[in-house]
Amino acid sequence: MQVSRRTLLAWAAAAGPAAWLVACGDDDDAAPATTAPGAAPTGTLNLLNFAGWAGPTTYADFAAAYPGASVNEIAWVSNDDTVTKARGRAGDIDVALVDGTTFPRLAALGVLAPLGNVPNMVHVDSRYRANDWDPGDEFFAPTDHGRTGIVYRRDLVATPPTSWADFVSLAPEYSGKVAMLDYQRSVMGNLLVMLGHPGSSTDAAHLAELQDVLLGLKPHLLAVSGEVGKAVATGDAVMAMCDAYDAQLALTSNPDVVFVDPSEGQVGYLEGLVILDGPRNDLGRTFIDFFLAPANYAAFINNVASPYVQPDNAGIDAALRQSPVINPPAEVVGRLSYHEFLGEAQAQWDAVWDAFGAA
Amino acid sequence: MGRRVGRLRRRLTRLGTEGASQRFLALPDTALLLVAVVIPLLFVVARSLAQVDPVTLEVNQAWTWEAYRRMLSPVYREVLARSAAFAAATVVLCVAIGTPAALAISRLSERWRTVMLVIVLLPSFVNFTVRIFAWQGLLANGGPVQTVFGVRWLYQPPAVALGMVTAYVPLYVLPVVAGLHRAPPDVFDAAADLGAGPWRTLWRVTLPLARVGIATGTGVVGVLSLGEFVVPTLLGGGRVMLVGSLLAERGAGRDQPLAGALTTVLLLTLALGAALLTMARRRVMRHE
Amino acid sequence: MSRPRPTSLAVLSAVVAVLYAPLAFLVVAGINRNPLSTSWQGATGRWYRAMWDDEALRRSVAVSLRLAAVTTVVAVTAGTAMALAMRTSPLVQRWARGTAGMRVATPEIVIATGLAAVMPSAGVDFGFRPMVVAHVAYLTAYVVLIVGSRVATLDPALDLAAADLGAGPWSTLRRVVLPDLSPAIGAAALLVMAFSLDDVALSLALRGPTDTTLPVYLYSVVQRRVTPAVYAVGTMVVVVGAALFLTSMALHNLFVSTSRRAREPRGRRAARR
Repeated sequence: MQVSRRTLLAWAAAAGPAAWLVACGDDDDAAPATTAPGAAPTGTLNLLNFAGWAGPTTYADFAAAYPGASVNEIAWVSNDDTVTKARGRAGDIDVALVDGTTFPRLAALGVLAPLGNVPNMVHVDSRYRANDWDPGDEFFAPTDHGRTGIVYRRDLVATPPTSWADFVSLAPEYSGKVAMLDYQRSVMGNLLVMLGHPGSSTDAAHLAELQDVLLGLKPHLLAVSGEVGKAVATGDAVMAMCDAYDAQLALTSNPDVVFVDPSEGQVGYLEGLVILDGPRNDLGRTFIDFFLAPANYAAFINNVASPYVQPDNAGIDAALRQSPVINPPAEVVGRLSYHEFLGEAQAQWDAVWDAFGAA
Repeated sequence: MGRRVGRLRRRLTRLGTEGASQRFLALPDTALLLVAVVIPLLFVVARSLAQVDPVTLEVNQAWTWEAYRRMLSPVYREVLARSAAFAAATVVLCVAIGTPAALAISRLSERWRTVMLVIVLLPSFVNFTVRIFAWQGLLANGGPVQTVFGVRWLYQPPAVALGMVTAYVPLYVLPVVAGLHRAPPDVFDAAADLGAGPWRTLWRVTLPLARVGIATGTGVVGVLSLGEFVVPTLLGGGRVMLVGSLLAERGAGRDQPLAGALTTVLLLTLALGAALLTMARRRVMRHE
Repeated sequence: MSRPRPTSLAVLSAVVAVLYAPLAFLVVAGINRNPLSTSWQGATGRWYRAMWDDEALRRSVAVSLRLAAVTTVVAVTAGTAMALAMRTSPLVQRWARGTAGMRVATPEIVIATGLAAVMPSAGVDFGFRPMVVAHVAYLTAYVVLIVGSRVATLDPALDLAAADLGAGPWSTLRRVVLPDLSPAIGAAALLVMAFSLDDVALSLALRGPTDTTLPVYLYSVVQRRVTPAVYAVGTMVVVVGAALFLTSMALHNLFVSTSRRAREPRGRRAARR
């Protein structure tokens, strides 16, 4: 069998450009930070964050303030993804945005580096610090939080709901026009609170009770998805279980939309930045401090319109500070608890959620 | 003369001794297959027999049937059945709508055929999720579709149908058009001369020629729509849990064993189906 | 070729309308002041400005384009080669169809997790190269299926005629078969490009810190907040895509008509002889 020279030439011709393209496709690895003692750190910081979850010019400003440093934002996709990436690849991610349920998993993996001295932490209110998962504020720098409540159309709903129990009992009346967000922890957690149980309970009896409530709700639901605020704003739904953040957008879009913090209390999330141990810990620390500086933090909150952790920050827009959705009153915060890590019990929660989904 | 042509024909059907070297054109794809598909698939099968720690996502190769047992529980059986029904409905929709569209395209002149194919494929270059969000906006209460047509389709089956057409009809049309044997116009004229009306020509001449393309298109759409979840969630309301959302949310994390089990079963089913089809076809041919 | 029948044309027009309705929405929503795009609240350029200022977004577009370009070249080459090999024997044909079908049937996320699991033990770093390999390995299956189905319907008489005229198998390949296949190859290339540009699962699992692609970026956006900036991105894709296509058509016309003019005088001379 002969493979003619022409054939070989043809293959080389095809493979050549392809190989060149692939070879040239590799970017250089991020240079490790060079820190002369006392000098500002340099290098490229790999930051795992929601796309665009910062001020409009935060990264550029950081690069301007620290010549030789820059920020490379890696798109956050899911908690599981964060844990997977953190496991084998220290140094690939320097700083990550995590919430209270992911923090214990990273801590268990031993990949976290201490924050050290972050002067601007003083601006973060004490109620968001010293959390259950990091009582000494050693690793976790809070940046924002969120909670789930009820949105409804005051022009389309006769009796306004004020509690989760109201929401559940009103559902049959507005059957086919009720929506829920599709985040398992928020839905199940808040309904547990409605039943008088802890929002991260792993008790089998509590979960069984919860499953009954969920299955009873299912026939009346129009949608279980991420855009419930929009659905209420357009009138496709008249009432929904919705995140504060999403609700704020709906409110500004349609003045007939009302957001309610239910009377039984709420479960929410608290997010913050952590440093993953690697060659750029100093750079990470500098960035976190920069991010929490009042001017930069205000730019961040004004850009994303999320509930914030620096209540005394004068740079935050008046509209946001006066909104009870973005800046909840003390009694609402008093009834608020945060999602806790479930550990092995996650499988039980998954079972309830899947039974609800398959119904 | 006859013997020479006969020998030539025999050589060419197997491309002769020289042409046989063209067999090695299969090497690049086979190499890719082994490195990037077979080895990961073996890992996946192994993972379907393992356990994943929900905290650290560490894999414990326990060689247990736990994932398969979970898969056979009533909840997941329901999810699988619904996904299969959904995929079947999608295939029917695509074949019903896509086949006439593909035939129309294939009958155009060569230049217009290219133009039309690009027109049909161009929207696919825009990110899929963004296009489905656009459908959400179009079909919402008070939106353009309701204003013009007076129908409220969002979170109802018609919205899902529109979304699936957007997603899958181009994927169906492409193989059908590509596979359509360019029969010389005489074939259609001959059929007409012999008294065949347009429907008869379609059934007896056109469709058999398009058979391979239709089979490919059906296969691609059928398999891909088994994993679909974006359209049913964003446009259908997410009231029905499908395999795709399970896999997307947890298949790379804490539910790798379940994802592996689903894949293994799916691949085995398809292999079995293909084997049965081949046996059936051989038996039919032997009878003819 | 006979012209398309009215019913098929009607269905085709309806399909095109359905495919382009969302694109029309994108264009309008991209300049709508309303951040939820639920009703018209006046025109604004802020979403385009936000898109333009977003460095991570710009970088993800560049990564996506490079990935799609490399993937398309390699996948179409390898897939067409396999499809051509299908002509040599029924065994190769069954092998090609079977392995291609197997790949199409496997959910991308499963291939992605499998590869991500193998790579650390094999000492391969996450990054651009593994993403290319994964994209190519998966998408070549579609090329094999599409070009292969066209190969299956090739007229064997053409091969015979070429052999009668003294052409060997490789020149037959070059001069007769490949040109005959070129529409299918072009169609397959378009499909691979579209798939690669829209792929989330493979790009997500195998990415390195600087290799976020556009669909992964958009997936992250959807997790938290969707602003009309994503509609602005979509509009840009349509505009650029349409512009590229029109340019290539114009160039093609130019090339075809010049080469035709170049050939004519010789033909006339030959005829006079």
